[in-house]
Amino acid sequence: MRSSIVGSNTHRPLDPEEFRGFALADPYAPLIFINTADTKSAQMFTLAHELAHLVLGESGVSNANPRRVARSRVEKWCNEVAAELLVPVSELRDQYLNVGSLTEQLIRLSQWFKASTLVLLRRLYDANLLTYAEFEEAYGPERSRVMSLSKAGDGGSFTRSVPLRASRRFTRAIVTDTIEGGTVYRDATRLLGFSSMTAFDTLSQQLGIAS
Amino acid sequence: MYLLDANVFIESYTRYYSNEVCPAFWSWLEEMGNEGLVSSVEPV
Repeated sequence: MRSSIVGSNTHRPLDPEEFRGFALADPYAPLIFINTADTKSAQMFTLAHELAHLVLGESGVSNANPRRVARSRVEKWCNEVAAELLVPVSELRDQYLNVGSLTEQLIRLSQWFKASTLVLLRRLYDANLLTYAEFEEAYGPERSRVMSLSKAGDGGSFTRSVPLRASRRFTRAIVTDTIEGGTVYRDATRLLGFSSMTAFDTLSQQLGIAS
Repeated sequence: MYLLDANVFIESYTRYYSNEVCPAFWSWLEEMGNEGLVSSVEPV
């Protein structure tokens, strides 16, 4: 599931500084939630990080920040797994060229690895290609540069955004079960995050469940 | 007296006894309400 707002309230954005995502471990229906008020590559990292949590069979809230040394052993491990998954150290060493500015390097590497420049900055330090001092110094400016790049999207259609937010699989399951009579409409709309019946009908049409 | 919550109304209306299909249900319900056998909360 992904969203950048609390429920359906567009006036309450989810702050990525507060949390980037969470995972709910379950033998039958494990779930990952990604805060999409974050850069795409940060979302990738969070996804990898939450997957690591699920591999451990544990739930957890994540505010993965490559700069702070994660206190908990589990958090630290999940960060390491995610980092290695997205940017394997051996491949980083192969790809790294000490030519041009660090920013140019980071941009080129981020395109290769499809990971954020901030993650790559951290990985360069992990791979001993940068000293801690160099890493620290470059982090702030790079972060400012990245944040200024992300722009707001257009309005978008509400009902089309529901399956994205609540996850397509979950939305289908709820809508289908409701139409079959296993779930009451009130619970369904509450779980999916809206309160109008016409929205429910539009949604079931869009999903191809009802005509 | 029976206290009815929103679900009763929503489910009945949407699923089983819409006004076109079975208006008698709703007039019956209204009568029950007048006799004091069923009731509901204000928001509903």
